Amino acid sequence: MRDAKRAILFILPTYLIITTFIILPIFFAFFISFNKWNLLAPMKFIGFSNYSKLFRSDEFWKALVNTLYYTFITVPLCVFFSLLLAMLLNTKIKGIAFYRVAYFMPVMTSFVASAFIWQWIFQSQNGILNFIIGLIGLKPLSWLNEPKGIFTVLFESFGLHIPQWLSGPSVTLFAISIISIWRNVGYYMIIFLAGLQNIPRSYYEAAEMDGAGPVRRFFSITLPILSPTTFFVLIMAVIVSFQVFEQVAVTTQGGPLNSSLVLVYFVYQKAFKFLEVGYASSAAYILFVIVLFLTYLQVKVLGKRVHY
Amino acid sequence: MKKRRIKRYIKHTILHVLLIAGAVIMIFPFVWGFSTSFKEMREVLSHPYNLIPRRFTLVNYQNVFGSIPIARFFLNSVIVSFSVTLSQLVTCSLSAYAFARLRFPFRNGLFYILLATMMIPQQVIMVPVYIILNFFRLIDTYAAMILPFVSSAFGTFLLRQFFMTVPKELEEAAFLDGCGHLGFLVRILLPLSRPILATLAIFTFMWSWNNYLWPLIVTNRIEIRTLQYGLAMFKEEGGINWGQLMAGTTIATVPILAMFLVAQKQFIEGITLTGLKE
Repeated sequence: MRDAKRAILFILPTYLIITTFIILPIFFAFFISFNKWNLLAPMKFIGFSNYSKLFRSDEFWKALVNTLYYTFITVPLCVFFSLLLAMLLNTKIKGIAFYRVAYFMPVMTSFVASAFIWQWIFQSQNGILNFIIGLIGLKPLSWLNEPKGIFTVLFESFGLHIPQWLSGPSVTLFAISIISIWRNVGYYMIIFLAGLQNIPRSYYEAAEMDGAGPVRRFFSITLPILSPTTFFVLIMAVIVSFQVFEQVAVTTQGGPLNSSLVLVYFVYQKAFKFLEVGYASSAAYILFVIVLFLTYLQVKVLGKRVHY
Repeated sequence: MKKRRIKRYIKHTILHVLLIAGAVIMIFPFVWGFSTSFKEMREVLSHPYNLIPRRFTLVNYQNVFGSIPIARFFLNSVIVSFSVTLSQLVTCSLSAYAFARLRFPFRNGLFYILLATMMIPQQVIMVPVYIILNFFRLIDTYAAMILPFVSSAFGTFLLRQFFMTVPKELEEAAFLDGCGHLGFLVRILLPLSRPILATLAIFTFMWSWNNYLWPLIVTNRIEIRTLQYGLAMFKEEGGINWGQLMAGTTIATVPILAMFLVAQKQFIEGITLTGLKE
């Protein structure tokens, strides 16, 4: 019993903070999302109006589609490059410490700083990226100020025109995705590296004796044993990409023409620029449900597959 | 035998070429931004692709300190990040100790609730948290940037996992010597946990230092803006002076990179141990 009293004292600070700033707010947000409120006038209950307004809003759909585009660009590329780098590093090669530091450096950098550096690279005049693509004969792009779809621009450079629905994510959103990939690859690489180092060398040696080539070894040993790690990284990367905010806030503020508007920036804009707090909360809750579903999937599948 | 060695040599050369190419892509943006911060405005515009400045100048750094209160922003970032980190070390140690070593009703239930809160993204609750802080008249204060992060489920979880591995006998021996729970925690368990505490401290500090969303939402006054927010605002005012912006970016980045180079091991271990926090 004395233990119980002491335990309560010990967990009190943590629980106080978590309750006030996470548990209460998540219920509070749900409640606000059914009200019309601008923080000044009294709240007014309006049922599902915020949600129906959301689903009728072109801007919201744009934000949702852009977030999905961003996810479809960043996640596969992030997973591919981080796994590739981890596999290259998992050989007995010299200088691993140096490479690990190099690849991890962007992860340490703040979103604001990395967005600034990349804005400098992406500049339409004097930007080094345009200089580089100029060397291979491509026309300069205004990377962070181009609402046209990436496929449209790509085909235009060969003089071809494609229908609007095939235009793909805007060049701007694509450029923002590049910043995120650059920043996050090192993080997932470390997780993959840990997963790879857990695979016993003897498996590979045995397979090599049986005459399995490197490709066969990758698909028959590495990939199956690594699948829980891969799945973890995959879901993690999707969740993180649904929360993208800083890169957009610092570089484009959702523009041009909403072509880089993403979910969290939509919520931020509605809540803190237009003070439509109820409306913003309904959008935030949709984001929450998506993330919750993904987390559920992660727990469910990982729970089953973690013992291979 | 010789053939094998040649084969290995070729393989390693290819590996190094690939890895170096990747490393250049990762490091180059830093190097280029860094070099730009030492160029005069004229050179930034006329010869933007020079990696080594023709005329090395510190004028951008002087301007950054002169035209924007960057020293103040830096100090604010230090205040906020240190407060958050130190308080998390204390609160998380206490709660982790309770969850790992004390027996009390609803222990598992309370622990799972705590774990569940880790799944709630900050972005989803920023509106209600703003309202709560506003209710307590805390908007535009340091407290608004610190208080919500005085403790964390992540820190509690991380420390609890480690505390559970310390053998029970150690505790019993300490109690025989007349130690209480608090004495055991402070004098024996925490010194044993130095590596994991370092990991938590580094992660929390880095997260807090780099945080942009929160200061953006809860502060207005220039005097209490943190470095990240201050920098972002600095860009919005007037046209972009790239040399100055890169000088500011360098000032904001160097402390974290230095910390990383010193405490690499803790970083890598922290990620592989938990694989949890972005």
